[in-house]
Amino acid sequence: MSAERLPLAGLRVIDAAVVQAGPWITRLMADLGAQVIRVESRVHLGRYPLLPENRAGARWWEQAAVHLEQHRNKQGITLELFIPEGAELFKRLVRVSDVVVESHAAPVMGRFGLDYPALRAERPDLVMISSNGYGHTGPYRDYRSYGMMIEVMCGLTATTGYDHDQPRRSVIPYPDPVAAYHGAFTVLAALSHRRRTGEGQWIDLAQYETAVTVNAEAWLDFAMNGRDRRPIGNRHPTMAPHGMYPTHDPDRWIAIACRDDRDWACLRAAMGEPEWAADPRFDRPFRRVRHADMLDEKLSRWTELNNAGELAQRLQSAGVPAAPAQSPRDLLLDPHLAARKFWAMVPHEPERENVGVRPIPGPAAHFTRTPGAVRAPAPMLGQHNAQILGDLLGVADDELEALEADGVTGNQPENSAKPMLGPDPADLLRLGQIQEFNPDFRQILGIAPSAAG
Amino acid sequence: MPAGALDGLRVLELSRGVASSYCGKLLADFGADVLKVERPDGDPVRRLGPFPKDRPHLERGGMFQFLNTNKRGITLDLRPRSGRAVFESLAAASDVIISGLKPDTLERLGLGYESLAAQHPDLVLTSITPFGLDGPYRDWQSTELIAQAVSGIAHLTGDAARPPLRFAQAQSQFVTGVNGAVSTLIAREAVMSGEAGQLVDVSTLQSIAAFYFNIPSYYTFMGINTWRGVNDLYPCQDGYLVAIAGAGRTWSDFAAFLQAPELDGPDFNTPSARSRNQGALRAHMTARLAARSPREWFHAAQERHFPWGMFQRISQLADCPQLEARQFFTTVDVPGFGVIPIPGAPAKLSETPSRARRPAPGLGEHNRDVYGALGFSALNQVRLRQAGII
Repeated sequence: MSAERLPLAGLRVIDAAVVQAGPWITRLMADLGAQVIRVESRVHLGRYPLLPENRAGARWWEQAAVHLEQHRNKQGITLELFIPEGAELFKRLVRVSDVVVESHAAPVMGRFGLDYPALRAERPDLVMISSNGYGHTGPYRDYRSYGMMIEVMCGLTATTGYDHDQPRRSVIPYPDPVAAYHGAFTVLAALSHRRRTGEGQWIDLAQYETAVTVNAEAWLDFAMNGRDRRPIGNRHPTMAPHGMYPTHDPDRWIAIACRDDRDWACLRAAMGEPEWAADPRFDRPFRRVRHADMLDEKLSRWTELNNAGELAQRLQSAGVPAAPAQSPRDLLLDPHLAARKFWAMVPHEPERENVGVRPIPGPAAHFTRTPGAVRAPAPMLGQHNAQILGDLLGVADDELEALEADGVTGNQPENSAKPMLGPDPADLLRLGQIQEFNPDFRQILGIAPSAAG
Repeated sequence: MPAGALDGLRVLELSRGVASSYCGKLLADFGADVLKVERPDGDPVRRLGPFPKDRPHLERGGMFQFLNTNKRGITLDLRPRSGRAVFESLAAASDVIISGLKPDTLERLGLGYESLAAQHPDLVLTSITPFGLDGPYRDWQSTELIAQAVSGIAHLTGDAARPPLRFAQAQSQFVTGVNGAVSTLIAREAVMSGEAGQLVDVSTLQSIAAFYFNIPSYYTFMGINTWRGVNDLYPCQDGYLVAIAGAGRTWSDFAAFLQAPELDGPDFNTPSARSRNQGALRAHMTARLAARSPREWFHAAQERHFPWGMFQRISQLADCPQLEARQFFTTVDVPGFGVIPIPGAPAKLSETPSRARRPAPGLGEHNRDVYGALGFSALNQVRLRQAGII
C-alpha cells in the first residue's frame, strides 16, 4: 500500500448516526483517510441481522454484513447517550473532534442535550450535520421515514413505471445514498469554509429535498409546462430503438439505445442489414419513435437469438450503446469492476464466526495519487473504548470500569439473544418471494468456505 | 450577502452532459467561481429538454438553466493549437478542473493531467466518465438507459416477471455529479494541507456500484440475488401508501392503528409468518387502507410515529407544506420565458447557505470579460471568433 498520506488524514469525525444515510457519509470520508469514530449504543443495537449463510453465531452482532460494509475503516466505541455520563463523554469527544454526523429523528439529539447549540458550546468551530427524512424545521420535522418512503413522497416513484398509470418503486433504498453523497459534499464544503475563516456551522439536510433535487428534470417540466410527468417505461421521447430486449437466456436482458441515425445505421450493419430494418417507417428517429412497438418486436426477434454479454460486446465494438442489464451478482463478477479492483476482498477476524473473506464495495472514486482502500474491517462492539475513551479522552482505567459497570459503555449488547432470522432462502424461493438463490454462491464468488462452513 | 463555503475556489468546468454540469453546479451554488467552458456549438445539455412549450432553444432548456446557476460561461474549441494554448492559460489560473470529456480526449490534445500538473502541481483534475479511465468498458458508449442497465439500477426496478425498468429520469447522472463534487473536495483537502493535487477518476458505474447498502451482501452472505418486484404500494382513495410497522413500534401497535385485530395473530405477527402469508396480508391491508385518503393516513400514522409515506405526483410537490415552510424552491429567470421555481439547496448550511448570484450563462456570455482579462485584444477576439475557436 502506498505510504502516501490520505487526503483526509488528520480529520476526526464522530459518527453518531443511525440507519444508513448518515453512516454512508462517514464511510466516504473514512475510505479517504479521516479518523472516523463510530459511536454505538449497546441498548439500542443498530446492527441489521443479515448474517453469513443466514445463521447466527454466539456473537452474531459481529457477523452482521451491513455493519461490516458501512463501517470499515472506522473505529468503534459504545456510549449510551441517554445516560448523563454517556452524554458528558460524548461532549468531551466533541471537544477534540472536527465533525459530528448524526441522523436521528429531529427531537432526539436535543433530548440527549447534544443538539448543535449544546455541542457548539463545547467546540465553537464544530461542523455538524443532522441528516433525516424531512429536515429540522417545518410541519413534518418530527416525521419518521426510511429511504423507501422518501422515494414515494418525492416524485421518483411517480415517474417510474411500465405505463402511464401504474407507478413502480425500486428495491434500492435510493434516497439514502443520494442524501449521503450530498451530505458528504456539504460537510467538506463547510470544512473548507472553516479552514479559511475558523468558523464552524450546522448543516440541516432533508433526504426528501435531496431526492426532489435529483428528479429536477420532471419538476422543471411541471414548472415550465404544467405537465405532471408520468412513466414512459423504457422508451425515450426522441430515441428509438430504446429499451430492454430479451436474449437467448431466460430473464437476461440487453439494453440498447440508438441516440441518432448513425447509431441506427451501426446497429443495422451489426445485424447484417436485415430487410425489415430498411423499412421506410424506421428511416428517421421520429418515425422510429412513432413505430417503436413494431421496431421493438422486430429487434427482439434478433436479440433473443444471442447471449446478452456477447451481444453487448459486439454492439459496443460497432459503436452502438448497449449493455446487459446486470444483477447484483453480475456486478460482483463484472470484469470491468474486477479490472479496476473495485471489490475489496476483506479478511475478517476469526472471532467473527463464519465471516472469513467476503467482497465488499471499495471507495466510490479512484484517487490516482492517494488511492483509498479498505484498510481495516469494521470495529467490533466497543473495540476502541480503551483507545478513545482512555488514551484520547484521558478517562482513567478504574473510571472506565465503573462506566462499564453502570452500563454507560461496554462490549456486549444489552440483549445478546439471537435475533429472529428471516426464512431459509430455499423456502423463500419455493414461495416465489425471491427469484434467484445460489447455494453455491461462495464457489461462484471464489471465496474459500470458512472453517465452520 | 452571507459568505459562500467555497468562496475563492477557482474551477474550470469542461462539461459534456448532466453529471459534470451538476458537479460544477454544486460547487458554484456554494460559492466557487466556476467558469464553464463550452464547445462553440454549446454543451449538449442545451439540447436537452424540457423546453417551454416543448420548443427547443439553446438558451431556454430547463435542465441547462437548472444545472448551470451561478457559473460564468465561455466558448472554446480545444482542438486547434491556439485553443489549447488558451486552455493552458485558463488552467494555470484554476484550482480545479472538472472534465466531462471522454477518457482519452485531454490526453490526445496534450492536455492530460501529467502535462498540466508539470506546470501546476496543486491542480485537482476530476474526470467524470461513464466507466472510468481504464478497464475493459472504458470506451463503451453510454446513455442513461445503458448506465442504469450496466450498474444494476434497472434490474432492481419494476416487476419480477417483466423486463428491467429505467428509474426516473437521469438518476445515474445526478449521482455521478454529486460524487464528483465530493471527490473534488476530498482531493482539495490534501492540497490545502500542503500536498500535491491529483487526477480523480469518477465514473458512473462505480458511483452506483458503491451505493447499494445491503443488496450485494444478500448475495455475498446468503446467496440471494436480489430482484426487482417490490409490491408494497397499497392503493387507497386516489393514490398509494407505503405502510409498515417499524420505527420502534411493534406489530401489535401496527394492527391496532389499522384497526385490524385480525392481523394481530400468529398468521402475521412474525416476519416469516408475514412472508408466508403475504397475499392474505396484502388483501387485509388493502381493505383497511381503502377507507381513507393517503393524506389522512399519512398524517395520522406519523402522529403515532409510524414511518409511512404517501405517493405524490410531481404536481403535488408544489403544494407540499413542508417544502413551502422550508422555502425549498428558489427561482431562475429563463430568458424569453420568465421566472420559474427550481429545486434549491440540497441542505441548509447555517453560516454559508447556498446563494443565487447569477442565472446560467448564455452561450459565450463571458467571452469578452474572460478573454480580455487574458490579454486578448478586441481584434484578436474577433479573429478567434472568425476562426470558430470561441
